[in-house]
Amino acid sequence: MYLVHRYISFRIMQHYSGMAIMKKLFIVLSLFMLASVQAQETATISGFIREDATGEPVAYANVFLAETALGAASNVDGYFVITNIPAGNYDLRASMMGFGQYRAAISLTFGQTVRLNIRLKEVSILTDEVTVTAERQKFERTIESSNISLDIREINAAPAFIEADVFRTLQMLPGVQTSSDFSSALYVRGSTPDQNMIMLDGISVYNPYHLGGIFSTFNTDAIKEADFHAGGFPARYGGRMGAILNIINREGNTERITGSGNVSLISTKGLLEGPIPQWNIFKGSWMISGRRTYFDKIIDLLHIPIGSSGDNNGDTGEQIYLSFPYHFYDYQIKTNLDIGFDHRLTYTRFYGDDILDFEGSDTETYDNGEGSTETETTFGLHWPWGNHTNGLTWRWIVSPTIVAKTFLSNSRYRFDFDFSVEEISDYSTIDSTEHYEISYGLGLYDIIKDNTIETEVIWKLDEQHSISGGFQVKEVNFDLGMGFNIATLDTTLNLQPLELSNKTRESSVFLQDKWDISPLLKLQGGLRVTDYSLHDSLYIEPRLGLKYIVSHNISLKFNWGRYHQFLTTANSPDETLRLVDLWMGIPEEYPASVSEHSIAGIEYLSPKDILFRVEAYYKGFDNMLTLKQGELFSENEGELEVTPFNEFWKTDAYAYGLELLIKKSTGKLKGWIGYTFARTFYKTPQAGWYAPNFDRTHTLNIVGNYNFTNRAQISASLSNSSGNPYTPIIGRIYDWEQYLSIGSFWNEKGSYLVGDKNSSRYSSYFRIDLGFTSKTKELFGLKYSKYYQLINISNHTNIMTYTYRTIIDRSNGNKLGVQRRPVPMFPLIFTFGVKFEF
Amino acid sequence: MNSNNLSLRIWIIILILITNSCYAPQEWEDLESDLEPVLNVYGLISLDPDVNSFVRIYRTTDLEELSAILVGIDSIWYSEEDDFWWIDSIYEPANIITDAVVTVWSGEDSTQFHYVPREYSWEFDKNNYQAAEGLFTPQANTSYHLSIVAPGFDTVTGYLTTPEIPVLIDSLIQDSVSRDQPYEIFWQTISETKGFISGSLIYEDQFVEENGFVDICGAWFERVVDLDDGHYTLPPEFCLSDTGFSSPIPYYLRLVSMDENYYEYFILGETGDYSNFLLDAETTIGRAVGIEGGYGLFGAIGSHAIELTFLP
Repeated sequence: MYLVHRYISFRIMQHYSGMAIMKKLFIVLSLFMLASVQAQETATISGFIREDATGEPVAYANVFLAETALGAASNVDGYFVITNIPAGNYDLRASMMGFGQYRAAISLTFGQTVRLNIRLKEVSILTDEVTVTAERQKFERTIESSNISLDIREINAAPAFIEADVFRTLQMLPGVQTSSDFSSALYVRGSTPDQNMIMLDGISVYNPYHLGGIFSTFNTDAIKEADFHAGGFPARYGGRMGAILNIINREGNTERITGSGNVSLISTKGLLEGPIPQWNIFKGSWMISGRRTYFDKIIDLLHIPIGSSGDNNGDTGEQIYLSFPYHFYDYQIKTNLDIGFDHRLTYTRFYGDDILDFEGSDTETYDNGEGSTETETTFGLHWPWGNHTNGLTWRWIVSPTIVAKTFLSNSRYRFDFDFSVEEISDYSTIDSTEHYEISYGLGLYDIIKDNTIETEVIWKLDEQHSISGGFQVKEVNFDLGMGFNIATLDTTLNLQPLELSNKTRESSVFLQDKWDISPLLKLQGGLRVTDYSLHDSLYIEPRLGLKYIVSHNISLKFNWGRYHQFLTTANSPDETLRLVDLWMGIPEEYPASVSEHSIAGIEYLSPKDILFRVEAYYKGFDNMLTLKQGELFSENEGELEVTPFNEFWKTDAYAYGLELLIKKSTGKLKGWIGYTFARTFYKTPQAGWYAPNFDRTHTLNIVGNYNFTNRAQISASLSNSSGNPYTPIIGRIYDWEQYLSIGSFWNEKGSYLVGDKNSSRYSSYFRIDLGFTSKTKELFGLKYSKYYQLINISNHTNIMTYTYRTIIDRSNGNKLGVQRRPVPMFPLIFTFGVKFEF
Repeated sequence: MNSNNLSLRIWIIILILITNSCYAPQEWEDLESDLEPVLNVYGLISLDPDVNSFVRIYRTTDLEELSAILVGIDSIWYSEEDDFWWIDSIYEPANIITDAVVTVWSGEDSTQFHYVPREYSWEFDKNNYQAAEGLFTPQANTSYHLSIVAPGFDTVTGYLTTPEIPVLIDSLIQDSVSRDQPYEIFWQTISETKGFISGSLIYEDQFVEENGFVDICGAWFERVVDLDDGHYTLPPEFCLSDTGFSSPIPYYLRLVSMDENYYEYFILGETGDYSNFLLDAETTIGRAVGIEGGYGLFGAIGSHAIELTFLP
């Protein structure tokens, strides 16, 4: 190991161009693999644990040899390995809460390697057998702070807005804040959503929202687990300085074809999964799911008249009906192909789009007796935005203790706003006819194409060390622009007032060691080194995790890490609603944004597996970028020019807080209580220090789910927090506007005088949601369940922003004082839906 | 309790909730503020003989008080599209300071500016402080100080250095402007000074009577220029149709020089610190450019204009 470390250090010092590092890394990885072929004096048991009915991997299952201290936990792929087993006869057991225990008698000889495919049968009746919960496994084995995994049952357990949403559930966890009910974006410990790495099966997704953030793009029916790191994440992850969320999709049923569906007020979802029949050494599974909203179709079917097109002669034209020209859809595909025991290929695809699409036309005729004019105007808006990802993963079990994964992925996010108007006019008199045509077009687009290759090798060196290392090369193309065109019969003008594009490459290597220094002390140290193609310097990111086990039920944790980010969004920092993000790579002239996370925590897992976690954190940020807004001109090398999209304030920030989580994951009553005390401060040269508009000082979230019969389940959530900050208006003032052409005028312009940035707060946020599910009924052979949801049952007015008006004295027309009225978030909403499965 | 009973009970609760709490419209709320009022000043030193130097003085206004007074109607017009009569009203600030002592001085020369009230609503150059006729003739490249003492307010002071008066070089400028040809404009260079160049049609009474007010494509422009350059080329304009006129129209080309304060206030503008599309007016953090003790501007301009013709 010493030699390996020396080799890596030496080579990194010598050559730090991205590709050179990649080449050297392959050599290092080869050394890892060679080292694994060491003489085995003991035996090894490895294998996969899967659900018997579906073949889905069982994560966090406990595999152990009875009456020994030897054992392991399965990872998220269901893979486990027990090493250093002396030769002999053993009683191997595998267990997981909710499943029957697996037992097998195993005889091992020196150097023997045994591979198992363990199938656990789901049971609904608890036995007296000692089983280990996933919570216990995570408690004992995880060194990282601030990590929480939610499985599909937990995601579905919380009351949802219309339909279950993983982001909405995550927003109820400590440390996660939201800007408003209308956004499912995650603000984590002072970090904005663009600082979070959102991944679907390991592939980056750039704008994972539908309808401006009201819904996330991830269809919960397809999700197996959401692995969330609020901070202090290990060296394996990089490129973002906020949080990591990896959505892991289901693998697909390996035993039989099954399906499920969900019909809610806004959309219908469906999922089908099944096996790929075994042929020779090939075996696999597939899963496909999709969703589409249908409000547009329903409105069309209802044929609601809203008027008629007409001309200025009073003739009634065609009837016009109400339309809702917006919908979104997404679909996901995942297939797994096992090639023997050691190799697996996984292909995942996600495609989701929001589409605002409408067109219309109007015809006007005018006849003054001497001639007539007929003008036909057609206009159209076509605006799709969304994500498209493809990923291919090759998992290779090099040896029982070495697993290598290679990802090849591309991810594309784009929005493409295209608005056009066309006018065709014919002017006719007795003597002549004239024909005019003119068209206008406006386009605004932002396209990101991310191509990534990544290899990770995990090597369980011995019972004390688990080493992982790898590389990642991420090439991102950003293309942001605006186009405008005017065309007549003889002339065409094309303008491109905005055209920003760049191509960046992040080349990273990482290495980390999970080291059990003693039974009570564990350490996870790591290093990530990144070369960013637009900058000359290397970015070095050390990571450290420490865990001290005070007792069987109590542990102390400390995590520290340094994180860089090489892209940003150019959105207004004060906007109330955000429909799309404008992404761009960190320009050459700006340094990479950087953050340091320091997290200390204590965890207690009660004998009934209720987790109590308290964590304190401090995050410092440097070199963040905040879009300059509203400035018309800027000086550039002495020249005055219109401020482009990529002018930013250099922004520093810090955040600190204290979080409490009490989580119960088993029994009839499940759920969690989360409390967060959080303070975040940003600093720009112009505004000084201020709390960003997502900052909420105190947040209390309670989420509960109670199964009181096998067929009825009730869920509830309560969220109470400090109000979000906003900039108050404190008075009125006159600015002046100049008119200097043929005359000279300077007119007063009444303006609101604002106070310090974000120095006021809206009233406290309060919301209670209720959900009820009645299940296990059958209709035409389909099992189905009904669910009802009530959002904001107290109809509490949670203020998103204010609208203002000046009072006019009706008697004399004078302008009096100013009034404001809240623009509320969700009112009381009732929704319902049906789920079915076969 | 079986699930059917539970379901029924939940339905009853739902019905009660829905019937008792709907999406209630939010009430308007009067806003109050306890802003300590300060003077809101616009002082202009004009080197243009056609424009008087003046100082306008208001005060900042609390949110609950009268802010503007209706003084007249500019125009009333009917919109066929909206089927509605629109009225463009003329307001003046309700909180004009009329009893201030305003002094402008340069070196030993000191001039008192006195309040000149507006008698008619169209007198936009009134309701401000001006020097008595002939008593104040500002000079180029000269430092000027401003002092405003108003009862109940902090004293406001200001300072600026006037720019040079720009000179368009008539001999190098073509007599006529054509919108589909580049147009070269020349002036005598002024170092480290920003300028504002504009062109517009001169709507003579006869022209308006015959044609009404028309907005001819390519017949108007505004640019910010660096007066050190001495030259600007106006690019041709893309127009969709011809002007509709057969004879040349008088055209006015004007070059304005600005002092640093004026340039910062009107050209660089304010970096928006807060945006909310639901506000019914713009916002400002309150700027003071060239003055201390209040908000506003103390700036200066010089100007030169020539008449040309605009080719149809």
